Amino acid sequence: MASSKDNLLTYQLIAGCSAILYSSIVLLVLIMPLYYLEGAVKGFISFSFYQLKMGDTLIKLPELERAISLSIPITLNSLFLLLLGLNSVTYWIYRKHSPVLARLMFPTSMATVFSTTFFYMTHTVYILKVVESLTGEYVVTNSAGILILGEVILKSSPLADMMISPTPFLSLSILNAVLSTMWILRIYTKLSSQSIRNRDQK
Amino acid sequence: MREKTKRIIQILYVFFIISFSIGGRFLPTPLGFFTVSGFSMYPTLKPGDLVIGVGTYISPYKEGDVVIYCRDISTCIVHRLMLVNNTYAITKGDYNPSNDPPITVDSIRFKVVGSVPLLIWLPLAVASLIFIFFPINPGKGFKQPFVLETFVFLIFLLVNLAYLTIYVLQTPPALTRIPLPTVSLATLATEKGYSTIIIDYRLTGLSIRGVEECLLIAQSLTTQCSRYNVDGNRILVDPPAEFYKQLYDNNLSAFIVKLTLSLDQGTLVGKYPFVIEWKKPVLVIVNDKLVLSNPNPVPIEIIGYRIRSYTENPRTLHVDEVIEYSSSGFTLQPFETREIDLAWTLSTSYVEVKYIFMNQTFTWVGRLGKQ
Repeated sequence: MASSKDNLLTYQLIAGCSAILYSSIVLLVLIMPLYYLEGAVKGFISFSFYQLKMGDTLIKLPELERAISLSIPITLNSLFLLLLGLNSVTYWIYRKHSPVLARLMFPTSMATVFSTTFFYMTHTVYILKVVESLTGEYVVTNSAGILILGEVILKSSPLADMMISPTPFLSLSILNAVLSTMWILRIYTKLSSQSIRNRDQK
Repeated sequence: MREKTKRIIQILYVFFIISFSIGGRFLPTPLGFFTVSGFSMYPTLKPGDLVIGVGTYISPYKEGDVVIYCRDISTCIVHRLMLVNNTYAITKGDYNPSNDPPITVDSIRFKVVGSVPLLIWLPLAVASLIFIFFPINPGKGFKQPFVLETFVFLIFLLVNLAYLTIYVLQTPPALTRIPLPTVSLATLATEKGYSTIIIDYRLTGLSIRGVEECLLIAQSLTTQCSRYNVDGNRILVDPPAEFYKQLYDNNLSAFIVKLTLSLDQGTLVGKYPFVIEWKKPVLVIVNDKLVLSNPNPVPIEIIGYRIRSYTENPRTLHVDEVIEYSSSGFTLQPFETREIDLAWTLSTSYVEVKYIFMNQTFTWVGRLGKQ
């Protein structure tokens, strides 16, 4: 029969791995290009940065700058979660259980559910809207005549197609939160049973 | 006693909030607190900012100050005072393109003396509310179950909300517009008597690579430009002489230069109108010479000229000697000036020149008198 420590270590490992997996996926999604633009405007757009060029001129778009700023909370959240996950696994390798890690991982994992929601809002409200408005024919009429700059074609990466539905990421963040909740609850259950036992012994 | 003090503080807190926030809208309170709810004063004031106003009966206002006026209890406006006199005032939101309708000076209730950003006043208000109404014991610390957890969770939640507030709620909606390179027409000109057409552009972020097509169009006439070249931001077009001849023969004076330019990014298609002013040939007698000048880019047909020269007896006023001379016509080439010597003529001469201009025959007569 597994001891109480082994049981807690198993929770630590599972919650740690889940935290590493989730935060790594989020950090990857943040840096991987979501959309590619070809034609008059060339470049790519990802959650945390973008590079758009018209000819040799770099284009700055306020709405995309704003979207990038909105990805800062989830970046901080994911980095902290990754750090906690790596620590949990390292402690598990040395067969050590750390309740402090559990106490930190639980609120961080819960916060990722909110961060993921904001993350989706950033995607749907800003990035998708901006990207859609960038496509089309660029024709300008002025005193010199008709300036035909060409067409802008949008190509979305498979990642962007995946991002259209919030289900996979939200499910992952909820799963991660559930696992860390189970871990913390297990610790508090153990602590309360210990305190009851101590009281009974007295 | 402690409970009584706490109760007094709670009542004062509620009284302070009600009197200066809601009460300021209809009572002559010395101070008024208002929250901004739009982008009309952006970036001076952002949505959610707390505005502190001092009653106008305490602090007088002047043009340029930000003031608060109320239309009714529910609608108070924080805008900048643009113009004020004894009866009315005109205000404007810093972010608004135009002035507001005039208001009476009596409706101005407060002069704004300061503002507190949402991210400062809201946490302070929440903290003070918690402190006054739900005091917590800081001695217990993070060792208590779920205290550290709640603290960490709230930090992340606040970070999310702060970013949401700054970048979504407090930033005005902007249209996504790519700053496109621009090209505009600087000048249209002709040089050397229409022999060169100059089309000058003003380019930003673009450069001209070459000319894809150049057409000269006048009604049903369409001709290819015989020569053109790119000189930096300008195109120099040399229309062929035949094109001007066709215009002249058809009594046309307006034409269009249609250019298709290849740019480093994209293409420019432009149509530029030109008007050619056909001028009659200039005929003058100067220094015993008949000078004929053609100011047009087309040849002018001189049908011929005739000279009648005579001497007159000043006493009898009879003509003593008469010489008559006729010459056949010639073509006066574009911009050509030709001189005909009249030194051989007698004391008085009349010169008659016949020419064709715009399909009509004209006669010019000049007199030459010698001393």
